[in-house]
Amino acid sequence: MKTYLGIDVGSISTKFVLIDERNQILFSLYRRTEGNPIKAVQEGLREVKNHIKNHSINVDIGGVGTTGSARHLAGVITGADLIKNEITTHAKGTCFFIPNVKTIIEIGGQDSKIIILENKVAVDFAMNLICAAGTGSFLDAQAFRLKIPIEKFGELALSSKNPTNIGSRCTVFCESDMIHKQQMGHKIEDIVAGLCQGLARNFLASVAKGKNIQKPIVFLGGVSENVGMRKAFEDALEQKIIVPKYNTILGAFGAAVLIKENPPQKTKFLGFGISDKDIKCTSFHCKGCPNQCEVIEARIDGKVVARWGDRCGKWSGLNIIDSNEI
Amino acid sequence: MIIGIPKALIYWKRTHFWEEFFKSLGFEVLFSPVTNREIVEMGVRIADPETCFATKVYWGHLLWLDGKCDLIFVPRLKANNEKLEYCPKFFALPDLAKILVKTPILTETFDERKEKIKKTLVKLGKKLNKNSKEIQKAITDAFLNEEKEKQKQKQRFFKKILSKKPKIVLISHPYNLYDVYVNLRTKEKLERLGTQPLLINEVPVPIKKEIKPEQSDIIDFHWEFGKEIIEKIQEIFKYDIMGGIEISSFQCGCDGVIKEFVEQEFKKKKIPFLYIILDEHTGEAGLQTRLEAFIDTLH
Repeated sequence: MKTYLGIDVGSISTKFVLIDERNQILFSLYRRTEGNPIKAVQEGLREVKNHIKNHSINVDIGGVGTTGSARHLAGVITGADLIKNEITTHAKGTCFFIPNVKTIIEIGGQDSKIIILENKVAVDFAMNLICAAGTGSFLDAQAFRLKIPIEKFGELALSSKNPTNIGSRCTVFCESDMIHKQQMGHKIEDIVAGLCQGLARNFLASVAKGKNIQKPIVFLGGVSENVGMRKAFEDALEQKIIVPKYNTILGAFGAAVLIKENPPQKTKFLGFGISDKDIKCTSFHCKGCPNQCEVIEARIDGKVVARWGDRCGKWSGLNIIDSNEI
Repeated sequence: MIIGIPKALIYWKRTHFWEEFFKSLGFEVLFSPVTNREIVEMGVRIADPETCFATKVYWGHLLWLDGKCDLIFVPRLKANNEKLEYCPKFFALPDLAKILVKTPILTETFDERKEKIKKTLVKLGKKLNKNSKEIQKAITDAFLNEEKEKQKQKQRFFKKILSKKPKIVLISHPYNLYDVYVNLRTKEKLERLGTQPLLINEVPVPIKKEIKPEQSDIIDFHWEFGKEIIEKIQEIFKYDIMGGIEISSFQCGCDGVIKEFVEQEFKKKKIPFLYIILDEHTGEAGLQTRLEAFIDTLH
């Protein structure tokens, strides 16, 4: 069976989706990146392989697409046929399940974005610019500080009858505001609910500012798992929010669909064997000019496969095979 | 005698004027190099954290020149020939420069609400002990050189406009558009993505009778670049433009105002628009993602 693999490597989580010719999801996986995108890709691929083996599916990988903030690295080490930005893949993936979608809110570990669509095509978008306030890693940190398991965070917020007002412009102030509210004696669920409301408000006021938000509105990404955040967006937008099945893996799914729609003659996929190979990235400061670019070098079993990070192209453009012989 | 010119901020407004002016007067001109990491780090280290990124970069260039020349030229730009004001940060540049570097600062106040630029240039020349004849020649040479460049620029623009590739207009101040370190090579990235970028300040505007603000829906801008940008956007819409990208320096107060008007113009024309803020922390990966996604939205 011809199949296509989509891999979405984000700052916090790494997602894998294997689809068939009819876009049916044969296997999907959501795992933490744990600060090591290479290992996350290797271990994820091993799980994909095990699933195929255990279910005795006859799989022929027709193409691989990578996306997410580490899409380039993931593309290099897997031999991807397509490396696509996460805005386009999320738009593509969502349209398969909700063809008339007009607005996508996606909040991940460190990125948050809004995508505006017309007739299944992204026409406008925005990403958080400099500040990561209100993204998954901040919620994680707050849950940890309050000793609440992140999975229970949303439910706790929903149980609040009187959410307290938390300033949400900046996470630093947000945290001190929360501590202050605790010291004032506010109930923990009211603080947590207030935080969700504050983050939703902040997202709409900064990232989504000036965007034409029309329904259907779809909420994706790790933060969309949080029922407290779902309700906060529904309250702030006074609209129903759709959280589809596969809400956390639609970027990877979109990457798989994109490569399926434009399949290569022959895939460049390096095979599941790369899970067992020694893949290392090292970096060095180029001394060629005062820019001192940090050049990253990726090696598979000791062999340089790619370099990037230089501004001028001196290293990234270098013929890799030649340099291995030196 | 060597006159140093920092290759940043106001330099990019008149790239072909000052060098010619000083050389014609018989001086040697030393430019700071194109912005690099060392220069940015020097500027960021000493700059007030509340100042805009472009100014921080300027301080870096100034420090680079310190001790390498006899004078550093830092004009005080207040108002242009349309009597419109420059950014208030430009007003204070020579004063702050004097505190910052040991090399003497050569300056003069350019305020065309009070006097014509040629008169100011004569004053500047006198400061350098040149006689009227020498100064008049230098002024003519400098304007001629600038005009020559403008003609070349025009030709380049019309060549680019014929390109079959999707055309994207980059909107910003010249010091963001031309400084490839500051803009993280946005133009090159767009070329690699298969588009033809156009720089807003290179859009030729035909000479026309002054339109009174009430006769058009163009608002009456306080700042010179505000008027220039809005005017040139109207002009560029006459061509087949697929998208517009505005680049702003973090902490630029003026950009925050102008962006609203620029975005409105693009929305009216239903042309995709992207807003990017740059500072010393901007990651190249984040910019690449936005540009790639933006290209995907052009249909």
